[in-house]
Amino acid sequence: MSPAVLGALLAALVAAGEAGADERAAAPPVDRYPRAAASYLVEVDGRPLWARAPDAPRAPASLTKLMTALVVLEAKLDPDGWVEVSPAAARATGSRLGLRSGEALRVRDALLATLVGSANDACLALAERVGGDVGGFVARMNARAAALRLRATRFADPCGHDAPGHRSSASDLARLARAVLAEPRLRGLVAVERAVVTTRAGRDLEVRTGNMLLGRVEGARGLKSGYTSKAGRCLAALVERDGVEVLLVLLDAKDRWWTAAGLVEAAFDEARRGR
Amino acid sequence: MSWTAVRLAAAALFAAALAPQARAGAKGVTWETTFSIEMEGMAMPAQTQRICVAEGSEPEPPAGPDDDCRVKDVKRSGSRMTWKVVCTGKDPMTGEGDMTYGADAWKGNVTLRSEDGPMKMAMRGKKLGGRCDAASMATAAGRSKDIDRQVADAQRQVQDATARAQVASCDSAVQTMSISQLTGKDSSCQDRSALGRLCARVETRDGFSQLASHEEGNRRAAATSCKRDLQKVQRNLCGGATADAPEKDAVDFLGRFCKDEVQRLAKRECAGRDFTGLDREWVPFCSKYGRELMAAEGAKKEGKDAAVNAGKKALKGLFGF
Repeated sequence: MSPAVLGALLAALVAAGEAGADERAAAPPVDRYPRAAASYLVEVDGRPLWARAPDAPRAPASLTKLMTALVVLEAKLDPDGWVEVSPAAARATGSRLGLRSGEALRVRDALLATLVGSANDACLALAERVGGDVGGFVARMNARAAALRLRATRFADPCGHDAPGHRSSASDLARLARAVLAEPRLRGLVAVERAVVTTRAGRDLEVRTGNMLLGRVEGARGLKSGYTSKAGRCLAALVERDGVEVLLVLLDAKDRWWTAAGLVEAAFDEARRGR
Repeated sequence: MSWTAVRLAAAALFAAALAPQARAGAKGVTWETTFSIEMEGMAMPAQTQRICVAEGSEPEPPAGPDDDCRVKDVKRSGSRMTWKVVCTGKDPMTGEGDMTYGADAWKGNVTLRSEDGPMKMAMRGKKLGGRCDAASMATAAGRSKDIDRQVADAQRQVQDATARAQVASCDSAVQTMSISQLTGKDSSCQDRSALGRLCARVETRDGFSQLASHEEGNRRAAATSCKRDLQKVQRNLCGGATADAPEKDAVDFLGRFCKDEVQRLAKRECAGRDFTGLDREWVPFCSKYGRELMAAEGAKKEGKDAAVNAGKKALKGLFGF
């Protein structure tokens, strides 16, 4: 064995040991609300508070688009550049902006439509623009997931449609959400409730958030909701009050919005008690 | 604090400071003297004055500031002088002073004790140099007027501060519903209307909430002094809060004091509704109620008391969990 290989192995072992030590040091979050969702995680200021099956792989639906946005942002496209809408993108199903084949949207507007309106046509157009094709983009998403150490995550679709092998976990999605929130531009976008974007041809299209906490729940800072028949109702949400941040991820939550609102209140109560 | 005493004290300081003053018409050297008084935790602004000191003079024992005051036990030791003061009459007080001096500067302290408490004075002087004519400087009568004016200013400042402190003390007691601060033997609030204002606040959501955070004794005292039935007041306030909901302070009050009204409102505004179909202004209220449901759910999971489970059962179905 060469010294270089041996060194790399040792480094990997040390890293694995450190990671294990970190995980052992933190008390595992308790499942205080077993009926909240099939899988959920609530963090207060980055500290896991409550969880149920947080590492179980599940279909993430449109929470996938958090990674889509991160990869697009990191591709460093000109925000004012144009994204062409391919016939495939125009045919995208599910939530849509209503783009037509041959139209073009500015990169920043396509990103907004993807994150705020969960528009699959804009999402697919961006994926094709950045990755060359869907496969290329998905490969980038998986590489980024590996870099973020999202161990239960594997992407097979750029926008979150159910697909064989397309999976993530509440823990991974919370980590992904924090990576998104660390990007000021994305942090701003996920908080948008409503906007109008204009195609190159001058057609105005309205974008509305799917995050029903925004504008309703005090301190809601947005992120992403999603739904597919396999994933159920999903949500990643950030709420901030008096300098305390509550981040929650719900996967397959029967009554997503009530659950989220109740969990948020309970988490802030817990944070106040812990102060 | 007796203001005569303050004046006498100030005069005593000047007397000490002026001990080596030049006689009128005689030539002297200009000195600058400064004194300050601290009493009842308050320091009055330092007063500075220039005086003409006879050349080559030695500090002399300070003269009594008033006919009722007598300086005694004057002792000198090197460059230090100490003395005692005894005042009788209308403002009796005792005290002592000490002073160290050199060719170009001196400093000293005087402490006086009266029935109003101790009063500390600090004084210092420094030689500015330059020839002066004692006649051209302030006369003793003029200095006396200066002292009167300065003491009057200080008196006004302290009276203003005392009045402000009084108002603040009363307002604080009313705001925090601390009836013991109004009626207790150590009460610093002399405003007779403060109790009335506090009693009026019992019947407000904020006042009632503040009062509820006090211990039982204070609550009982408020009920007695204000002649209020607190349970009846609470019922009335719950009714008002129900009418004002979903205003934030009304919702907060309901959450703390009006469980029955909360149940009724939750059934009316939250139960069976889709979250996205809620009137937005009701979301904070319904979110809190959702939290109660979550808490009941959690308690059941942890096998806690049956009462909580009963609460959960009562709530079940309100939100479709």
